[in-house]
Amino acid sequence: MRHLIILSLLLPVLHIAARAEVIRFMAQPVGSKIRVEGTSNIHDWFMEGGLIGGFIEVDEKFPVKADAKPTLGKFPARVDVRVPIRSLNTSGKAAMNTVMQGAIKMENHPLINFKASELVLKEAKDGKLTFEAPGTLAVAGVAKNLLLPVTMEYAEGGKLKFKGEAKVKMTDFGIKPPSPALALGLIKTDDEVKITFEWFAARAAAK
Amino acid sequence: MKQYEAFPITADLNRRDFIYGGSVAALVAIVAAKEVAAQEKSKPAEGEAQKPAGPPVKCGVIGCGVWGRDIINTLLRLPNAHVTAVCDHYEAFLNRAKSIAPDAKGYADFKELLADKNVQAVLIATPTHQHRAIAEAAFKAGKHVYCEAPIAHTAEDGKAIATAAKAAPRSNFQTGLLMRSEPQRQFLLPFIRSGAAGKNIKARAQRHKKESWRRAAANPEREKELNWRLDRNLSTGLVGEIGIQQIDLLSWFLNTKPLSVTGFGSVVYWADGRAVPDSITAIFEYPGGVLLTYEATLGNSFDADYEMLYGTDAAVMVRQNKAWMFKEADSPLLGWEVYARKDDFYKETGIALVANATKLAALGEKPAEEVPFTNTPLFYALDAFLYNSRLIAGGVEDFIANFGDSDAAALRDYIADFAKNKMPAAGWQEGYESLVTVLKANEAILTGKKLAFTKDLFEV
Repeated sequence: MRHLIILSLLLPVLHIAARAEVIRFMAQPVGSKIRVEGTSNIHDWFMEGGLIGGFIEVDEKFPVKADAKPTLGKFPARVDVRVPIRSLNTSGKAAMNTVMQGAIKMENHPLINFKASELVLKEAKDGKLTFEAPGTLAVAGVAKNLLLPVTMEYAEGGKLKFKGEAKVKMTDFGIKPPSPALALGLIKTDDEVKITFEWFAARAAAK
Repeated sequence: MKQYEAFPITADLNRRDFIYGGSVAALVAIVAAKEVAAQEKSKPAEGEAQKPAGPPVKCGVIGCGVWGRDIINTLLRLPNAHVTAVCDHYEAFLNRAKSIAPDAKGYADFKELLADKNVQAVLIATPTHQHRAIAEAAFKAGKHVYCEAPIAHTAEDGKAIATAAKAAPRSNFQTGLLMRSEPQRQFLLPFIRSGAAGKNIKARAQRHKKESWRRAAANPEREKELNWRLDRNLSTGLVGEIGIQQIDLLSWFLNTKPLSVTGFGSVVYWADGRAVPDSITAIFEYPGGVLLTYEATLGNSFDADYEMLYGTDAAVMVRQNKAWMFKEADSPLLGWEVYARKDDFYKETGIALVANATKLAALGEKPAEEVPFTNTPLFYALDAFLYNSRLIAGGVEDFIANFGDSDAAALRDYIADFAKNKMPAAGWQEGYESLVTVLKANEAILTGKKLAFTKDLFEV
């Protein structure tokens, strides 16, 4: 009897929770790519990888399907995207990998992490949605606010494809631009780097 | 940190000389250096091992004979290695190995070593005919595998190992074709492939060393076991057990596979009842009529071992960690050779092809210092194995942490793509191709026939 009373009291709460459905899209193992490009006194360099993990959670108002007619404005979301630093390989391969991994303090901070709590839809045109994601980018143990412009497209199999680009300074994250003695001698890398990414996420099966 | 360096400018050429001297030749030299350096910048520091972040790889060495102990000694010099286990069923060898690596756990049975969770990578240095059973079990145990070359004594066993390696994307596999990781050869590869020596005409390699190959043992059983290289049923002969290194190197430089091989061999000096020739010659024919002559003997040590590649514009000689180019009189001027160091070889002048010679010159520091690669080829090969094992292990770990363990195809594809960034090393394909090459050569030597290589012979 006591259980029945408790259950009847909880029912309205459960009903609300059910109405505010959380839809989770999980990172997919195939198709994603990230590239960090920089310059130096000798030549341009890059780091790139194909592993972007994490998830994005949205509610039922978020335009998860291609036939959605979204209104511009804010959408609550929980974005948590991570890139293992050792999955990134540099244009200089083994030797430069070691240099960059050391500079980014991989041993203590093995992930690059971007988190956001909302997505602001700025434009919806021809199946491509342009958002701004105000969030925090954490690299080498330092988190900095970042307004990340992101486009979203509907990919095959109900997947979402997010694409974006940002320019950041290494020194903002406490990273000293590496100056290794490689190849022809002392390479002095420049502070600013450009990060580009394509990230595929697919709807997680309901539990 | 020093770095493998590019081109053979050994004179006092520097930026100041160029700016104040306005030398066109200097510009040519620097440009040449930059071009090659661009291809070389991925190499590890001379004399230093690669040090990716993370703990050392826990290694178990199986087979603690002379070569196995060389492997242990080399691993002990590498910061990325921790020798946690050694294995040999012969107690005296096991004890010697444990005296070198006292912290390592000793095993008489390789299966027990493979069951040891404190071993991430195994290095197989047993007699060639024992490789297959150990390698297959090692893959099943999820270990990274370094298998000495030749990988097997039969094509069937070799194919089984290559197939198992191919089917185990979570394991790094490397075969002991040492020259594939050796920096001087790595440095020479783009030079030769670029056609700097002209059109390839022929190649030659030799290995001369006066030694018996027969080893003494306490009893007849042990003697038979120890002298497997003198047993025709188990041995791949001089061409296989030793020649595989140089033959693989020259095939790699030539960037092709042989079409046929003719062999000759006889027991000339060590007439102790052995049936495995102590002196051999094998002539491989490559596309375009290019011939590779390989000679080896256990009866004379003169001129030791070296490789030669003859082109229409120049011949290239590689001896241990050094190389020279001998130009034809009518060959075009490349530019940088004007400044290169010259060495006399009887009536010929060799132009030194020296990695590491340009960095200081290009940076304007005097004198341009020549730093040869002083570590052994085994050092570089094991350095690559350890680096690559950790790379693969990290890739697998990151993939599973993010996407789980259920999509085997996606994991395999990811690791295949990720593994493109491995340090240069010979994998299962090179290991198998080199094996069938020397097996056919050994057959030609033993039968005195000319034998053809068919395309399917190289397929796994």
